[in-house]
Amino acid sequence: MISCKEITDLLADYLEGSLDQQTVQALEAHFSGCRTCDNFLETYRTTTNFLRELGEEEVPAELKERIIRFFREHRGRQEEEPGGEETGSG
Amino acid sequence: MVASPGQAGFRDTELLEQLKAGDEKAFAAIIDRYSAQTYRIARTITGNPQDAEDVVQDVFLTIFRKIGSFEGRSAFSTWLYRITVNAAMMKVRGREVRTEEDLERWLPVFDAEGRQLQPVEDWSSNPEKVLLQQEKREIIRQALATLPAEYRVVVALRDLQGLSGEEVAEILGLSLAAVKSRLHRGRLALRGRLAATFGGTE
Repeated sequence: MISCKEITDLLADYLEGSLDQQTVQALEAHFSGCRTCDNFLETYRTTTNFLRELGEEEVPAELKERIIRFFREHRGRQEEEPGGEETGSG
Repeated sequence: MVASPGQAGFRDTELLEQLKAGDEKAFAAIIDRYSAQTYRIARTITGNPQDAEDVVQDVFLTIFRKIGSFEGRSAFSTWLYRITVNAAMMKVRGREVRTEEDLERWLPVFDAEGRQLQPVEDWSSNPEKVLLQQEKREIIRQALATLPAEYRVVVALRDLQGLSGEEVAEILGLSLAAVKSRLHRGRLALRGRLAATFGGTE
């Protein structure tokens, strides 16, 4: 019998659909008999949904204009700021 | 400098060639395409809108200045997000006080047989009943702010941005296993934090 702790460890893979069929069946059998894990699953799923919603939030309307304004003010200063941050080269 | 409608149809590689040739319209098109995602990632890592905007401005200036050194070994978006993460992490470095212990106190606890020690309530529909969308978002942001930065960054890229585990691993220079582990622990801690707010008894 799969334990609540093992269930918890597998939640991300379960929601992503990356578990094999046998493991999925074992998890779902556990969920139907364990209120604690069923509630935990629902609230874990809700947490990921909230995060996704946050990723759809509107950004400031003037953001693009401000980026372009900043760019125009600073683009010529490259030589004055040698080095810059280490960013990798792709 | 406004991106023409035609540029919306260009692929990144075509825009980058135009940008390397000094075409400002290509730069505007890149901003058009990526500024919102970049802002949301920076906002989640830094925790506030003003820092996020500073980061985004720096990121696009860096892109413009360093585009010549971008060799295309990874996707442009991977390079852009890596620059964004580095710039945002620079902002929080020094002022970041969250530790692994802060995270662990919100993780579930089990007994020797692997049973949950605390009761777990299903509060998933409670926020919709009592809160406005804006209030709910604010609570989630506050919960996110309590995660250590190395967890916030994974949650930002994977859950907010919807990137694959492989992409996140490449951006952060981590193994896929490390990304999955941080994502899961970060989500578990957020769930625990939100349970304390939205649930009654947990």
